[in-house]
Amino acid sequence: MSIANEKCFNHNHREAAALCLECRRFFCRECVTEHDDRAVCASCLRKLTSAGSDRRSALAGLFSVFSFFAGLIFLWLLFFYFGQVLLKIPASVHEGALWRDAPHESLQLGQEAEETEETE
Amino acid sequence: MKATSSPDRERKGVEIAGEALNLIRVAPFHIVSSYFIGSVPFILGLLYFWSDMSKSAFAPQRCFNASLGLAALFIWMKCWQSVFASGLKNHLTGTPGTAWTFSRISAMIARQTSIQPYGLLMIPLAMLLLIPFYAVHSFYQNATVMENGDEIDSRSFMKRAWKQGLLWPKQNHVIMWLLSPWVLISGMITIFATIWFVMSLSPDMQSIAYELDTSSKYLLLVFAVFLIYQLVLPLSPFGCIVAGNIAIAIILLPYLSGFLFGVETNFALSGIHGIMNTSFIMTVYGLSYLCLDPVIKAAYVLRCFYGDSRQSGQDLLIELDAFSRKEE
Repeated sequence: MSIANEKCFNHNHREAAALCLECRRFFCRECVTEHDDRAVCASCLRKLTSAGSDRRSALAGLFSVFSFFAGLIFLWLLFFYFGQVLLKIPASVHEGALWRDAPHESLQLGQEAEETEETE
Repeated sequence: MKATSSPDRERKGVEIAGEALNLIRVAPFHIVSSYFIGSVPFILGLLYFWSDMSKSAFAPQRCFNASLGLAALFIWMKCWQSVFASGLKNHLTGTPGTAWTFSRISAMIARQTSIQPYGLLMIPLAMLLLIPFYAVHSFYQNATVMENGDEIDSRSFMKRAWKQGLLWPKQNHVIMWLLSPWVLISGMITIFATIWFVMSLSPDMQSIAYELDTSSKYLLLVFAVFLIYQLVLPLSPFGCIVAGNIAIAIILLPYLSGFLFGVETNFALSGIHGIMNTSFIMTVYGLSYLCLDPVIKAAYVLRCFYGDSRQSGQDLLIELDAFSRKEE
């Protein structure tokens, strides 16, 4: 099978210029194109790209499901650690009693120290 | 809408803020209410979470489940904010808008959940670095206001939101300075943290504060609040005025109800201790957020509209339409 003796599959009167590596048919210069460094005809190119886009859309669907759950878990953890930080902050800060309570505590500590001195 | 001299003319930030306020004022009730349907539950949830985690003895057991609930409320809020922004844009362009079908809603939920949570970390981080803040802030705002549930892939959606965010930086900075709740909270935190740091470093100041009598403490407190207010004011002027008004209203209303109607509330009876707690500050901030955020969303709707109009010429078409109607 020599290309010199072949005609284009789409145009009978034209000399074949290339062999489509997908469907193994001969085509003229206008009927073939390059795709992934290979010569393919228009119909094969359409099949290849539609298969690719199907694959891409399936991948995009999977990615969006993954990113949805990733976002949700991230948000959950973020609020959880935010809650943990709030739990770690002393209640006296939350209630604004930090300054109010401190003198009483120091007073009590002072009284206790005086009492221990007296007993000694 | 004013006539434009050139398609690329950068409107002033103040002009956009004014237009945003006007857009909300003239928008139908169902559009404005869609914002609050989403945001009020989140703010209430956040306040409950805050007060529960800061006061309840059983909070450590509840934290895990409560944070999941809060995450769900955040997604709920972001989706309704997108509905609000989409409604505002339809109102602006005079288009009827397409129905929210199941596929559109699910696409919106999926995309908002995969983008918005990271904003809660990225925006404060960008704020610390200062320079990329405007781009990051407007990216997340654009990701909310550009959402309409169309089935385009997330990558090109994010690319569009980022590109739109880089437009007109000066205008963007003015809008953020005037309206952003993030700037308000960062200003409040900065000033509180600075005062706290200074007070904790200085034992003399602590002893002075302890030795004062009650009336002097009140005076000192009023002076400190006034000082904080003056320092935060340049950081977020509009936000400060809103927050100040809300705080005064919350403080005065229980006293007024007692004075006028004889109704005594726990808040009024607790005196200064009703104010000097973190829940009060969070309540003021939550209510300020509900006042400021719809306006900034409307401002970003306008920014996106003018940004898109550079290619579509939609702003000119609307002006022509208004002009021809006036002629008739």
